[in-house]
Amino acid sequence: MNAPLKKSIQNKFNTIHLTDDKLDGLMVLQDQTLSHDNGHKKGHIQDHKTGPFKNNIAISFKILGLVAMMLLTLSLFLTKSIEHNMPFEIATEVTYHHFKLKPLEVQSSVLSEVRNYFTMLDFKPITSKLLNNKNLTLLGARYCSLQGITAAQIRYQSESGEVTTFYEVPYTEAIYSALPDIGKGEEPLVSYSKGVGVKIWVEKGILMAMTI
Amino acid sequence: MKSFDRSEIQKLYQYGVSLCHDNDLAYDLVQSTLERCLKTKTQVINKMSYARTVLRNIFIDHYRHQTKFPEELYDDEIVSLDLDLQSLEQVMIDRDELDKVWKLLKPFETEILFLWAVEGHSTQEISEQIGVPKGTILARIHRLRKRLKEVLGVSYQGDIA
Repeated sequence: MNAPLKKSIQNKFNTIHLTDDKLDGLMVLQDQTLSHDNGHKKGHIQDHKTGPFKNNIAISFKILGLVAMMLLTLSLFLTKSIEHNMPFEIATEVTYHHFKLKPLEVQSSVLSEVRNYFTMLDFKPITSKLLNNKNLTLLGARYCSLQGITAAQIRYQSESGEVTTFYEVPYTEAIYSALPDIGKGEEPLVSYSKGVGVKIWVEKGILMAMTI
Repeated sequence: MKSFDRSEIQKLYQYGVSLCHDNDLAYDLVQSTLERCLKTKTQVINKMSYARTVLRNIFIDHYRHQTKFPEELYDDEIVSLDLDLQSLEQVMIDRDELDKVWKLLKPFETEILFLWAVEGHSTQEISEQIGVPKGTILARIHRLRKRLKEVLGVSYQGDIA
């Protein structure tokens, strides 16, 4: 049936349609294109922020560096302080156990017997030459520790009946700081804690501490 | 540029079909057109007009590359005939004849028919849309009418200037 050309063309194109599947595909394509484009725009925005952000990072690193230096200085100061206070720390620990008077694990007036008891130590307990001139009676001993290191706690009693607590532990300068070595002619140092004086020294590689 | 709705995409697809006479290729043209349009940084006033131009350019690029595009369509003869699309209004044709004629027409001939019949464009608007002088459009319409007469023969009822 004849119709005007214009109408016929319109009718022809009215039948030309994309299927829903293809149309859906193109809609998705648009979304992807726009989101990708927006991503680039965001990327540009981030690029613009990159400059200041880099500066922030640089500043942050400078601050971190400064803080690290301060912490290092502080740690060195504290270490020095600890070193300076280490005799006091030792004295405090010795005094604590001195007052506790925990039961002796081995009771003997003979040093060899006491020495034989300490089979778990990394060193051999010795008799200090500083005790030679003192009239002290050996009461016994027990395992103990000093600054976390296993030590021998030996208990003596003076003629007046006063109990003296004596410590022996392997000496490590890194742990106990620099202490006078009587083998080198150095005098023992004395630190006080809770009213009790503690004499501290190093002898033959062993740190010794004794209440006075 | 904002995305195209389904109706606008259908319109672009129909325009693509009017150019290339191939549904699959028209789909590809629309797809490329949408991508280019959405990525453009150009300030676009008439989105559909811009999209049709993009689609057309892609089509031309495609056919130039394929060397299938009839070069003579670029060598438009400027005729001083008093022609207008109104003269096509008189042509009477049935659907079967139209399908037969459509296959024989060249891409830019069917494009003009589409823009005139479906999009309702005037000669001036078609000229602006496809970016060629109005005289060139009129020359194409003149040739188009001659071709319609050749194809339709005795059934052609329109006047030929």
